[in-house]
Amino acid sequence: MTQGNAADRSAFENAIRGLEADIANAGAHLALDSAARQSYSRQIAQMAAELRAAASSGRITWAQAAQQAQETRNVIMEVIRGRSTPVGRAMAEQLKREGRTLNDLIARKAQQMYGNGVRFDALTPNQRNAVYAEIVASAGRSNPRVTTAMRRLSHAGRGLLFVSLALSVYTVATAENKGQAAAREVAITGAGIGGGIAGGALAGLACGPGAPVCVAVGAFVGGALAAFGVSSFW
Amino acid sequence: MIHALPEGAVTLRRLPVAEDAGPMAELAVKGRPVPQPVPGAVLEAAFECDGRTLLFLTDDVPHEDALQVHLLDERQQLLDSATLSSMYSTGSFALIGMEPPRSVRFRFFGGTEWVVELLDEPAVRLPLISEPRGVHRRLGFTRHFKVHGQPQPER
Repeated sequence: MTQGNAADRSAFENAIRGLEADIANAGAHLALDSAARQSYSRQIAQMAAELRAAASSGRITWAQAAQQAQETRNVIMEVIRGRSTPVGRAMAEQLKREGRTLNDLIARKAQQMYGNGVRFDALTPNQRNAVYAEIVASAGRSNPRVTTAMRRLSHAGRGLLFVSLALSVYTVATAENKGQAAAREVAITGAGIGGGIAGGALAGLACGPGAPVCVAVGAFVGGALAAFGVSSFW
Repeated sequence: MIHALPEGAVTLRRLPVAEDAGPMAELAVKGRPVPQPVPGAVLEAAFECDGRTLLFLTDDVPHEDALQVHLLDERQQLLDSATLSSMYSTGSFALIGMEPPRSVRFRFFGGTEWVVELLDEPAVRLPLISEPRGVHRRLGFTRHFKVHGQPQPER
């Protein structure tokens, strides 16, 4: 084999390894963000159930439960955003929220439940509690369309991780020095995922918040560069 | 010319759905049932324009709400739909007003005023790139209304 052919082959193999690492990178992003979403759905449902139980047993009033549900829900949302990947966080921040205040929610729910034009302060205590209970229940709901879409993406993410794993297994199985090949695959894939997260975070700083396309490109480039770098220096 | 439908002209019945499915509603416009259920749970506003009916529904998920925009033809068949939604974000519908001859201006999320403009003829659209951020449609290449807006990120 000539020196030029060997260099070409090495560059080609590095490029293929970079691609493999970016498959793992994309899979890890999807899996992490989907897991964060499932956790969010579980936590808000649990929060609403606990507040409902507390109000039902008389430990707190229904008005307090509604107030706490509103506040806790926002805290959980912020925590989950923090646990998402830079791409997931950019997706979550891409549109300014315009939520309702607790008073707006109370007025709206009262009208939905007892008819247009009804005033909350004209309701009986039991009716008011029913309105508060509905606000607690609604705080425990996430948008099912989003949750279902994220569950599908979770499957796609696992699929990509499986493809990446299968490619690594093939590479190790066909290598002469299997131990060295295995260590190299682990290093390249790890660098791809870590580089992707770092690249996404850097792109987020450069492009500003709520720019998911820029952050996704940053994550892809970061993953590819990190994998390519490790592959070249190995 | 666009005009608002009077209260009670559109009736909505929420349909039972699976826990992981989005809310669906059965509608009737001026007593005539809409043949197919549509996504959404709460009717926010309804308009009529040249025989077509423009409906705004929300999903009734106050902390992560979505706005469903549906356009029906003269026979109450669903012509076109769009959804305004974003993960971990929410909006609240506030009608600003009608803009004759064929537009409606409102707020929902994104710190911007949105406009839905009905088109005389279906126009070509390209999936993913023809809509502002936060506006989603089914895969397809035509639209009967445009959604205008310049949504802002959270910070």
